[in-house]
Amino acid sequence: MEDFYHSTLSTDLMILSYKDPESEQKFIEKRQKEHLPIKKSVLTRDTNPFAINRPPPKPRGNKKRLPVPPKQSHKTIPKLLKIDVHCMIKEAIHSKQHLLSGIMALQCITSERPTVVYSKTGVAQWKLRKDMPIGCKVSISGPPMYTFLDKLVEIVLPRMKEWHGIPITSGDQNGNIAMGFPASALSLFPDIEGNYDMFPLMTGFDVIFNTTAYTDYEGRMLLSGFQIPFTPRKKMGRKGRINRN
Amino acid sequence: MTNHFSYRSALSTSIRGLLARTVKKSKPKSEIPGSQNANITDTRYQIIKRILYETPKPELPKMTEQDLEKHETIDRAWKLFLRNQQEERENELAAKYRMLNEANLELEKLGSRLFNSAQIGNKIMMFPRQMKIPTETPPLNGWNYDYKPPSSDPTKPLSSDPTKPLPSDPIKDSEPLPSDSNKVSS
Repeated sequence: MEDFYHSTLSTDLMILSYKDPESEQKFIEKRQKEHLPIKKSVLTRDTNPFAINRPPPKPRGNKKRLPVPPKQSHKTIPKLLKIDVHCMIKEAIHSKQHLLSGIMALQCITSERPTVVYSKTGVAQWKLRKDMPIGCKVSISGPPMYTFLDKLVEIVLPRMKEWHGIPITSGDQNGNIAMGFPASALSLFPDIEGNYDMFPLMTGFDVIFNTTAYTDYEGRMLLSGFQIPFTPRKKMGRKGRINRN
Repeated sequence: MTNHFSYRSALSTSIRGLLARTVKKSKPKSEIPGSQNANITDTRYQIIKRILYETPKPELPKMTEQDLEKHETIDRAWKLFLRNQQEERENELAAKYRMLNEANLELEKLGSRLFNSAQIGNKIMMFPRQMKIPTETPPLNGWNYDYKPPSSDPTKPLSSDPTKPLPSDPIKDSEPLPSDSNKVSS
């Protein structure tokens, strides 16, 4: 997979994601744009000597400031950096040992030891307290990442029931795309299929693909090169509109 | 690389045997919910806990000075090989990018309809689904000579559009690609 990326995908991606200087400049300016702050008094920050080390003002309307991409070159081709596999185990609320099954499963899939994730807030409705071990996550990069991707694309994804592809609108506006799997998907992995009885609890998990792409569009392009299917929305109306930038 | 037989589970055969034996022991004769189920899971969890946290760490091999020297030279040689490979790739990509850029600038000077259409591109630009990722070994079923591309289906994604750029042949990759900057939208 890695060789395939280097030999075929990277050159194609370079050509496909090439932007001519004008549109590139527009995109960089869009990302660099400083939105209006909530309080107008903040606009006089430069003249005010008391405001030197204050934190930057919050933008109006909950607008995010996304990272500014570098000037494009042969080094800025979108590349898969790492894959994060995360598993939240609800049963761990009443008994911690259920976590072990998740940890074992993730270790079998990814060949790396996962770390435990603790809750940040408490939710009384689910009897969750703060700093309670509630899930596990593992981050893989390099050759293990490509083998995991291989397994996904060749074995797991084709056999999943009632799954048509990642929705084309998925992504964090910065080129990272995530997808979730139901518990049934875990049994499709060859490492787990062999020892199915050993896992007391089959959990669903989610997979986050971290790429060096700066737009969802490029991230999707990269992942489709690895043969991960995407489904477009049937209605191309307002909600189905695809954001290129 | 994609040889399925090379996938090994993270558990060694001895540990798998241990687990299998305990699972057989702890299966109840009659399906009683509640306490019996809790009993099954207890034993398996104890074993998993033991495997994860209580197996002794594998010892590092003790090497003599000569062995260490050999190991280090091999390590350095491998890293050098990787470094050279990386440099080659980077130089190739840099050359291609330069050609791409120059071609685009020349096209801009001409100020033609082609340049304008090259700027826009396609809204959904993805690699085709039918693309085959090359594997190290051929498939078990052999080559499908009777393959027919699927008929146009409204529910299928638009990425199976034949006008999309096909993946370039690795053998022909040494040529610069000046004409590929014309991304003419269909």
